[in-house]
Amino acid sequence: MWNKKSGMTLVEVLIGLAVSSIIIAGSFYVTTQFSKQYQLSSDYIKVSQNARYALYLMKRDIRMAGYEDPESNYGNISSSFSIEDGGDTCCDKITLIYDKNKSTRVKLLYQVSDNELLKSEYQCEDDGSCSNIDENWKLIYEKETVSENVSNLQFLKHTKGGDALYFWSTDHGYDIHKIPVNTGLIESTWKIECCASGVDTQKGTGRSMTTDGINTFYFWIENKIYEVDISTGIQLTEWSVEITPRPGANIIYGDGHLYLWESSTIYKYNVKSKTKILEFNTEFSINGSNKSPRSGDGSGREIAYGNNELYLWWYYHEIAVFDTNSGSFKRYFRTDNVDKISQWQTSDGKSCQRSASMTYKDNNLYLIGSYLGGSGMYFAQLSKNGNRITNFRPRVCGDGGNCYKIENTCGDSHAIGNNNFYVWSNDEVYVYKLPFPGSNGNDISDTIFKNKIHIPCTAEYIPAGNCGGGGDISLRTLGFRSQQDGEGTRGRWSTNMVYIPAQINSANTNIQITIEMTKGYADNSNDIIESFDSSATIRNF
Amino acid sequence: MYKIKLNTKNGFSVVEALISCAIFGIGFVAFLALSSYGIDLTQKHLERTKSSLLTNMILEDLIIDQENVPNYNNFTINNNNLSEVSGISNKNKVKWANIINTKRALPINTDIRKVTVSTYEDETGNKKNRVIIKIESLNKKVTVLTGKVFNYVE
Repeated sequence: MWNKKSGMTLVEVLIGLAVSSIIIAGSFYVTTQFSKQYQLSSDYIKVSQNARYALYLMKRDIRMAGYEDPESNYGNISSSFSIEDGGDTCCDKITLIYDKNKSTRVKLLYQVSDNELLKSEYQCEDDGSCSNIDENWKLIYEKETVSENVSNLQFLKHTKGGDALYFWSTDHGYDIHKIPVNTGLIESTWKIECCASGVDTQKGTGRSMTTDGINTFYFWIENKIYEVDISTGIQLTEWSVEITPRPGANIIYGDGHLYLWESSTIYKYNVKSKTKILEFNTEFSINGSNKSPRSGDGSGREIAYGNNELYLWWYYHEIAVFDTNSGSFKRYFRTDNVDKISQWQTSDGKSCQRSASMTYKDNNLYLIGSYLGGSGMYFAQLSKNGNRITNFRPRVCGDGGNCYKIENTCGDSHAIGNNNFYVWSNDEVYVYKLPFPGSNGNDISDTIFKNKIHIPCTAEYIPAGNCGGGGDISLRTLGFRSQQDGEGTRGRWSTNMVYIPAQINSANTNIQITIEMTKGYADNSNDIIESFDSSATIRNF
Repeated sequence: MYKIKLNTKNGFSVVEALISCAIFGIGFVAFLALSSYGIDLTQKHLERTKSSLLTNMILEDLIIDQENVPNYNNFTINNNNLSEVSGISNKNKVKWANIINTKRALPINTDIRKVTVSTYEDETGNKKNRVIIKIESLNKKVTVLTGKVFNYVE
């Protein structure tokens, strides 16, 4: 009840005002805080929902990548996904291909732009094969926003049995070491069953190893071929051949056959029937000159298979081409005329006799050897007729632009895969981009060097004290390593490296997805930055 | 017993006003506590989302290593003792440990982040591996339990 006689006193009014002010200020504070909290919580929920939805969509499509409908109207999918590296800060892209039904093959692209995850969809043209991401696609919709607040998107591919380099060193009980190229770390080590004891390291040579590039290694040791599963290292079978490789002997896989090059004879075996179907001599005459390519003349991998032809590189800079069906001589050319590349050997001519490496890919020969008229390793890319495509002396450039050339070592190897050119020399693998740039006769290019994989000298693999100077098992390239005698009867210890691509149509490829969500505020006081990780495995259809 | 006498003649006294303020203050504090409860809920939500994604990641990763699923039994994701098995199993374990230890908070007290595998025979006599992943976070305030059955691969 109000004091109707005398009203409120000044003190009462002041106290009333003070109390009211406190209550109003408090209410205002609470309202503001609640409003901020509500906003923040809502934004957190929104960010979380956006992340989950983005991951749900991408995971669903990644799992389906490579699916071919049993009655598909289109060709086989040769490349079911592709990841484009956008750097660590932002953002990778992923492209996926699969059949929605027998008459609908789609290509989906996920990318980030302006903090939005965008999805584009393409469908295969009716008359297209659409076996990879480049062929015959028509746009259905482009860059449709599927999620907001995306500040970074990273994909990391994990593979089993593929996208890896495999190293063989006869120096270490025939151990095989697998190093995935995306990690650069030794992932597994196993031994060939025949030679697990590693007692006699002189039985084979590092070049008596080859692969079908899919799931099988072939090792030629003594008079047997050992077939080994690439994923597990388990020996599948072994079968006899009529010849034992001496150091310098080579083996190469091509189109369901093995070609064994020992001295001046090539033996062709069918890997299914495990029988010899052809044997031919490599000697031939050209322009009145007798030539005799012999495997024992070198310590490198000097044989390559491509399109029903065998290429033999011997005696520094001579290459002969033979027909694999008939065994007849077809072509001859030299590598020193315009290409400045030669097989390399140590100055004593004994510890490492003519080391080199050659592979065939897409009608081209890729050679590593030494630089004629100078020092250092040399790369050459030739046409199948021996014409120069490009050649150069590669350099390695580190931080600060310090560049140096790679020196040859005995038993240098190289491999091609995933648009990269891998060179194993000493205890490093140098990674270069393909295609090689046109050199126009220039000798040096350093623009294609990407990085290098250092093969560690760790106690797990290498006994203490053996790491320096090419210790017993330090996974260094090795050539004959011993005095040569004719065709290398006393030679031993050699190494080899092959690349196995990811086996994309089986459940051995897993893609890790990291999505970073950011919600910024004007005063930056409560910026939300949250990272979400998940992964999806491409199913085995 | 002292009784508060309401001054019905002269309006509220100062004492009455102060008592009202005190009561209001108590309600006010309780109301503020609701705000921090909201923050707590949001944190739990995020933790649950991330833990759920992580458990799903583990199950996805096991698909490419089905022959080694029993080797994951009793693997505690927090520790980095990776000498037990080699190959893809090792790689998976390193991956999970890296994500949970570098991108997420370290475990508090007795928080559990563990993979358990048990082998059993189904009604048709086929051997199966049952995988259970348990992640307890924020001092056990959030628990995510996920499981999947894999075919036993000899």
